[in-house]
Amino acid sequence: MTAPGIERLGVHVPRWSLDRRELAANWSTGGGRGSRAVANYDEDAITMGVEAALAALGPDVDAAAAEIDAVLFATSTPVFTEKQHAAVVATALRIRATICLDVTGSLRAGVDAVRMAAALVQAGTASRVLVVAADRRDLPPGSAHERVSGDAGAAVVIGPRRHLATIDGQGTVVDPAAGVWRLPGDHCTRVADDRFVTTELLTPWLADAALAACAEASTPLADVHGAVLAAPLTRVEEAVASRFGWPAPDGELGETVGYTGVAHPFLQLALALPARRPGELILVAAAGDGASALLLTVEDGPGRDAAASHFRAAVEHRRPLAVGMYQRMRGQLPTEPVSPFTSEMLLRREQSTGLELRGCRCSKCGRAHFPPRRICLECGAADAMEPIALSRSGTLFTHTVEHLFPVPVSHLVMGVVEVDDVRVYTQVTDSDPDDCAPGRPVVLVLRRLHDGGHLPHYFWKAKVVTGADTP
Amino acid sequence: MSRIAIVGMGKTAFGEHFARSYADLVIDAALDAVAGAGIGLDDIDAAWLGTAFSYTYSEEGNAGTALAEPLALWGRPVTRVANYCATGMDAVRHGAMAIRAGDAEFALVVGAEKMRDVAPRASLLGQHIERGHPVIAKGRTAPGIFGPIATRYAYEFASPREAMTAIAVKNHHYGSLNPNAHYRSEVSAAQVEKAPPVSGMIGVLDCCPTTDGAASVVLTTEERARELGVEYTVLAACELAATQGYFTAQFDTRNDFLGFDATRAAAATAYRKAGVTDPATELDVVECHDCFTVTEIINYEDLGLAERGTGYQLALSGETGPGGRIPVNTSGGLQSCGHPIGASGVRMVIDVAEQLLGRCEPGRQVAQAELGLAHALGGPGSVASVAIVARPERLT
Repeated sequence: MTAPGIERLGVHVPRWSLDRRELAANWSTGGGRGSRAVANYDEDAITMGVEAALAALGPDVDAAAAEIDAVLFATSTPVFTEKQHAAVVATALRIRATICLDVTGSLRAGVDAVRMAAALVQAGTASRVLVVAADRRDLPPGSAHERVSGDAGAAVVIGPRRHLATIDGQGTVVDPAAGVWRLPGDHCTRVADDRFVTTELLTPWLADAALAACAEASTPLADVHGAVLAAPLTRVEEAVASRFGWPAPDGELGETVGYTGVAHPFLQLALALPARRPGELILVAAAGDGASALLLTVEDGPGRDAAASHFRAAVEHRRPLAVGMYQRMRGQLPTEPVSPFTSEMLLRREQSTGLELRGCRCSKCGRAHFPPRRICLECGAADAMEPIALSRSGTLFTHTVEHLFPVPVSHLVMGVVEVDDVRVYTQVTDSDPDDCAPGRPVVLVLRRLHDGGHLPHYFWKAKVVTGADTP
Repeated sequence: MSRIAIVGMGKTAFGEHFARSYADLVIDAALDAVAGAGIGLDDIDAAWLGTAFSYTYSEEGNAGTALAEPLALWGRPVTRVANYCATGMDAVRHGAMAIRAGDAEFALVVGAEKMRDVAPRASLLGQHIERGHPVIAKGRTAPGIFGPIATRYAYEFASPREAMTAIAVKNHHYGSLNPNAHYRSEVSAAQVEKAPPVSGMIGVLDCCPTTDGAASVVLTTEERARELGVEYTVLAACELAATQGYFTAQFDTRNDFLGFDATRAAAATAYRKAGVTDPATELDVVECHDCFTVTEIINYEDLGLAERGTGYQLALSGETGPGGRIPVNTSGGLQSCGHPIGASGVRMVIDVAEQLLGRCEPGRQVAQAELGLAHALGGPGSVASVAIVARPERLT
C-alpha cells in the first residue's frame, strides 16, 4: 500500500480584514502592521471548518464526500464544551463517517489530527479521512496577541491516492508547561510571559519536533527544502528556520491574516506548496503543549496551487472592518439581546433539512420541494416523496435589505435563491447589498444563525459569488 | 335566501391607548355596535372575536372568553378567530355564516388587538425575531415580506418607488381627515422618500404604525334589519382564501413575487357571489390592505383594478385619490389608521359601509357610493379576505 498523504487541501479566510494600526490606535498603544482576518458574526470554528472542507472537496462535493469514512475536527476554540463538532461537520457535508472525533485543547491539534488520520489509513481502519481544522481565537483585547491573531479554517483529505504530498516522517514533543491556556468561562486565552514562551517553550518545541520527524524518516535536516512552522508568537518561526538553515519564512500569511491557531500550519502549507517541485521535502510543524511535525514529500498530484489561489482571491476581496464593529462581533461591546424560540425536538425532526440541506421530490409528478413536505404541491400525491440532496449553489431570485432585524452589523440581507429546481429563502451573508440583484450567482454556506435556547443553531445562508469565490 | 345586513357598527379610535386595556377596547367597540343596531347585548345569539396574536403583547385574546368575559356575554357560543392579518374580516365571515345558516338572528363580531402594551419593537417585530420556526425563514420581518416583492416588481416591470410615495401621500391625506385614524397629519413626497430605510425600497413612511384598536359589527338578516328600522348595508360577499403556508411561503417556486394568489382567489369568489363582473368600473370605493405602500400597488392588480404590471400607473394616475374614478383607502388605510391586526378587517368593512351610508367627513366622502370592497391580506401572502358591501338598493 502507498504511504498515506494529503490528497486534497482547502482553506477558508473570512471576508473581514481589520487594520492592525487601527486596532492598536483604538487602545492608544501604537504599532501594528498589515491586517488580520476577522470571522463574520455568524462564523465560528464549525462554520469556517465546513467552508474550508467544501473548498477542499472541490466542485463535486458529494462525490468526494462519498469516498470519506472518517472525520476529525481540530480546534482550540470549540463552540461546545460538551457536544461533538465533528458530528455537525460530517452531517453538514453529508459524509457517512464511521469514525468521527474532535481533537481539541491544543494548538498542535491540527497536525496531530493529520497524524491520527494517517495512522487510520495506514492501518486500514479508514479508507479516507477528512481533517478539518479551524479557530476563532480571542486574545486579551488591546494586546499585541490580539493583533497578530486571525480567524480561518483549513481542511485536508488524508488518503492513499495520488497526492499533493506524501507523509514520510512524523515527530512529536509533549510538554505540559503553561504557555497559553484557557479555562471554562474565560473570554479569551491567557498568555504567559512573551520571552519565556518564545525562548523556553515554542522555539525548542518546534526544533525538537522537526528533528524527531526527520530522524523518523532518516532524512538529514539539510535535505529539507522548506519548512512551515506554526506558533502563536512571532519571531519563533524565524528563530527555528535560521537555526536549521532553512529559508526565512514568507510573511504573507502573517501580514494579511495572522496566526490562525490549529488551521495555521495548513494555511502555511497551502501558500508554500506552489513554490515547491515534486520530490522536494517540506517540514510542517505546529507548536502547542509541545509540538508535532510532519515531513512531507511534494508529489505531482493535481491542484497543488488551488488552495493558494483560493486564499489570495479571498484575501484580495475582503472588506475593511471598523474597530467598533469588530468589538461588537467579538462580544467586547454589547449587542441587542435576542432569544429566539427553539425546540430540540423540532431540530432533530428536521435535521436533514436544516443541516444536510435535503428536500424531496414527488415520485408521481417529479416536482421538487424544499423544505420537504408530505403532500405534493403540484399533483397532491400523499407520502410519495423521495429525499433529494440540494446543491450548494444557485442564483438569487429576489432579495431585500432588512434594517429592523437585529444583527451585529448594520443590516441583514434576506434572499430567495433558486437552487436546482427548488427555492431556498434565507439570510444572505458576506455580501454587500450592491452585490445583490435578481440572477446573481450565489453559493450556500453553513452559518451560525442564532443561539436561541443557549444552543447554537446552524443553517445554510447564501453568499453572492464574487471574485473571492472564483480563483 | 335572505341577504346579510350590517345593522350595527362600532369602533374605538385607533392609536396608542396606554390608559385603556384590551377589555376596554373590546367593550367600547361592542357596545357601540349593539347600540347602533338598536338592540341589547341580550339579543346577541352568537359572537366571534378576531385577535391574531394572544398573550403576545398584552394580557388577553387567547379564546372567545376574551370577548365573553368583559361583556358578561354568557351562555352563548363565543369563538376566537385567528388568521393573521385577515383575522378581523374572517371573523365577519364567520358571523355571516351563522346568520345565513339560520343559527343566529343576531351575530356580534369584534376585532381587537392591543399591540402597544409593549414598545413597537417588542410587538409584531418581536414575534418574528423571537418566535416561530427556529431556522426556517429566520430573519424575515413583516416589511421583509414585501421588500423582495418591490425588488422583483422593479426587475420585471418598473420601480414602484414613485407610486409608493404617491400612495403614502394619498393615504396620509385621507387619514388627516379621519378623526379615528392613528396618524392624522399629511406627509409630503419628500418626507416619504427621505424617511429611514426599513426593508429594501420600503422606508418608515411606507409602513403602517403599531397600534391599539377594536372594531365591531352586528349582523342579521335583511328582513330583520328592515324590522329594526335602522340604516343598514348589505354584506354581499365575505370570502377567504388560503394559498400559502407561513414559514415556507417564500420557498414556493410558483411564487412570482409580483402578487398574491390569496387575494386573487378570494376576490374571484367574492365577485362571483356579489355579481361583480368588472370591478374596476363597478366598485365605487375600496379599502385594501396597505400594510406597506407597495402592497397597495400589488392589491390593485390582484383585485382587478389594474392590469398586471400596471398597478403603479394607477397609483400615479390619481384615480384612487380624492375625486378619482375609484378612491382607495379613504379612511387613511392601514398607513394612517394603523393596523391593530384583529381589528383592521372589521374596521375596513365598517369604513366601506360608512362611505355607502354617506357618514364620512367632507373631503373623504365619496359621492354616491353604492358598492364597495374591503380587502385584508394575511401572513406572507398566505391568506386573504375580500368583502363586498352594498347599499340595499344597489343589488337586485
